[in-house]
Amino acid sequence: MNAPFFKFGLFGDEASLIVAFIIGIGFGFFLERAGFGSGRKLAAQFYFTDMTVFKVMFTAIVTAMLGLFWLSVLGVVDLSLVYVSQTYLAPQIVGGLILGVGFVIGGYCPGTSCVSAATGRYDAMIYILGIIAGVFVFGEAYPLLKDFYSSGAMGKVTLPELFGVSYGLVVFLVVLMAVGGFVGAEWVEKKLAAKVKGVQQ
Amino acid sequence: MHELTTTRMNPQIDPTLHIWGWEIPVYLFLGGLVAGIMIISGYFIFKERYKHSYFSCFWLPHISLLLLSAGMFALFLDLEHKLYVWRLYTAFKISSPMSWGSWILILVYPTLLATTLTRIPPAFQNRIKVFDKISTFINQHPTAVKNIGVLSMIVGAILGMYTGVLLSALGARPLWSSAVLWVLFLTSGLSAAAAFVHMITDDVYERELLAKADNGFLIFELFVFAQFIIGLLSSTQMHQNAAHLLLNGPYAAVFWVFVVGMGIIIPLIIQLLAVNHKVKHTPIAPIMVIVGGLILRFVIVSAGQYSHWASAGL
Repeated sequence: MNAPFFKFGLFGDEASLIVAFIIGIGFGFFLERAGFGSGRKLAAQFYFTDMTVFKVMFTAIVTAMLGLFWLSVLGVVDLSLVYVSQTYLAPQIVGGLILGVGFVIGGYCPGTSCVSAATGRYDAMIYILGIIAGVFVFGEAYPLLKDFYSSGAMGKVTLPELFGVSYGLVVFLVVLMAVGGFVGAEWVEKKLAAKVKGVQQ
Repeated sequence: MHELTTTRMNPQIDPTLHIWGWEIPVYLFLGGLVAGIMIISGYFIFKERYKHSYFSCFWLPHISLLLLSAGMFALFLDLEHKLYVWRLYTAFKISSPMSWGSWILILVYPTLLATTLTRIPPAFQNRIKVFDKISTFINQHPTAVKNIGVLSMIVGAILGMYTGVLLSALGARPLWSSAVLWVLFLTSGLSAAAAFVHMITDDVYERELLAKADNGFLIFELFVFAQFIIGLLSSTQMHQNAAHLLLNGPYAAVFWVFVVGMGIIIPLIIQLLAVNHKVKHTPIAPIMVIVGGLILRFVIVSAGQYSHWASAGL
């Protein structure tokens, strides 16, 4: 049985939505267990006093990347069929900045706001209403934003293709980056936590 | 145009027969919700909790008057000849579910009015003298209050059953042609009503009791769903095709995700944790139950119109 299952016709459109729902529930559950239902914990990432978000998300990225890489080496996953979204550099940088501003102001990203709302936090429910309002405004303003939204189309771009290096080398470098990132994150966390404690005393 | 109509070959009739839009599911949902509310408030009135200012006896009947009126308005919007609505009340046809429904709704309003008069909120007191007099009279006769509670439960149950019978009486739609559809709609209505009280009451006793009751209703609803599906799957090919519309057909995603997953199983898990004091009570689980109940009506009404004896179209 080869993956991606949907692309190989293991299930249809309707069943894929049910599978997405089950995966989403699992994703939400583990986000909550990692403490990502707390807006304070998430916002602390931006002040470098709590690097849990960085560590958890980078661990997830590295795990998924290594899993995909080794499964493709073993011939279980056909990487050419895995969905990769198109790159539009400038619009995606602007979109990322807007999302980041919303994240640091509200304390949530879209996924964690749903997780937090599911645990009954009212601020997260208000945040979700804000997301819906934002989607509505974007939809209404789309004719004005359309040109910028689709500007700088680069198609499907991956790091190995962009730098002309092998997939395995990129995987190795990202793992090295993650290890370095974890060590750095621990150091920054201890340094700033001590500083914050000193200020509080 | 005339030929298109008489040969049924128009998008209003075939292939999906999508004649009922949003109005009917909304009406069926609000009717079921009010039915559940009447049973719950009737039970609390019967248990003499009207003597205190508890939410279920005090505010619930008033809210249900508004909800039912909203549902009736949706039903009214669906009528083709709106000005002739009064004709429904010039006859009673025993074999017509529509006729039954019209007259049941006529019974519901005075029953709701009677329950509101067991306790008039201070803001509404001394506004309409007749109501104050009736309220005083009722409160001087505890048996009358108890009877109003019983009446509210009975009329609520009839209303809840009727919302399902209305559809199951239409045998031309294989999906609706099930003897347990009324049980499903009544249970769903009770569940949504219990969730509604759980969500907005400020009384701890009511919140705990209704959360526990809702868990029971949700578990029972899962069994009724199983019966509903098994009943269809063990019937004719057309009924089996109708069941597959929900199980793995074009309505599968919305049915499994929004009705079963987010409307029953997830809120059930959350509420089981809440009643066992593992997590605090929050509005999330009740909101999921209520929205799930609304989507259930949309799915059943829409998929029912999609299913038919000619091809039961998968």
